[in-house]
Amino acid sequence: MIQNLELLAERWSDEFKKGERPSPEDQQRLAKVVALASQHIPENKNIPEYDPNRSREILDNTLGFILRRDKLGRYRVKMKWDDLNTYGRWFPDKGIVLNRELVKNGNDKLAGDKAIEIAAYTLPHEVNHPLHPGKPDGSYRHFMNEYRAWYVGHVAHVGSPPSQQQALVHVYLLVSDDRSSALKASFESNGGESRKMVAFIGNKILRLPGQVTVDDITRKIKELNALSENPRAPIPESVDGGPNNLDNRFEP
Amino acid sequence: MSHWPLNRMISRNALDATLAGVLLNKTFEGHEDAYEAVQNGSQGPRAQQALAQLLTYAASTPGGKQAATKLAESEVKQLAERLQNRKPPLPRDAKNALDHLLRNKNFKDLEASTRIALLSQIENYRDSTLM
Repeated sequence: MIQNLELLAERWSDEFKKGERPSPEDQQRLAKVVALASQHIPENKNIPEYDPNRSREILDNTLGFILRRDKLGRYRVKMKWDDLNTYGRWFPDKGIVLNRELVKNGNDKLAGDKAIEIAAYTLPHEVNHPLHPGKPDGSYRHFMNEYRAWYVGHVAHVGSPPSQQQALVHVYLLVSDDRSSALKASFESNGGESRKMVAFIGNKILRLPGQVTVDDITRKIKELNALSENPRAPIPESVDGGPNNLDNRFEP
Repeated sequence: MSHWPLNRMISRNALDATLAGVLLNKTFEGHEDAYEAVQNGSQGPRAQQALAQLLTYAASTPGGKQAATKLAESEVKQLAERLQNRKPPLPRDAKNALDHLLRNKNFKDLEASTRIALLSQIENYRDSTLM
């Protein structure tokens, strides 16, 4: 943890010299998040496939991605705080933006479920995005990038893969929520990309045989409690031979 | 703004910022632990807010800023000493990492408030196995 805080000190020193100076309150927020992510070990709640080492590996890579320079001496991603309607977001131009309201300023320990989620889930989730370039265009690749980032964040946060039930809820939100309007529009269009999403949800998440329809998925959503919590969610997959980075490792 | 007499005087425009800084410094001189307790919120949010407002006001003049900086520097020093001399001592690797951080030129060049933000987190997790 101390080494990560020293890397953060170096990063700030570099940014301050360039005139990029977050407010003292936002500095406190980031120091809190880095400290928690550096020592987070998820509690063992007897969830299948619990493995705290996987969580640590993702979080250590995540912090390295944020705090270490690349071969050319540049930082890989900008870090900002702002008012958001989500926990955090990654923008190709602005970098990773975290929700300021969810992390109180001050020099105390990061506390509260939402604040801890920012450090242990949102940070690895958002770092996964720049490792999988692609536009948020409603394509199957876009869908899989979101599913993968969620999966990686979940493993980092709780130390085990999500359940089938959690995966179904998450992907259903992805394709029906206005916050991911491109995915929603694409899914509702019933085009080629939509059919790939339906097949992944039906055949991989729900493990239904044969051709699956949107109605099949909607029916399963209504019977959510009938799904067992034990089966794990499917492992995210590569799209068209692209990367499928599940531990946020990166080129040094 | 009216939690302390100093804040009340500021709110009545009766106290110059430089004087506020000097008074603040004199108030806490030799009582840095009390200053730290107010600043980190352990004396309650109102006292913490009042101190933050006073520091901001004092920093609006060079003399006041100098006084506020002196206070913050004493807090950094105290935090670092507390971490280095804690009992039981930090594990060897953590102690080495802390010494390395405290010698780091980039760290030393940061403003006191930034160094406090970093050192406070080390103190918060002093008993963690992943120091």
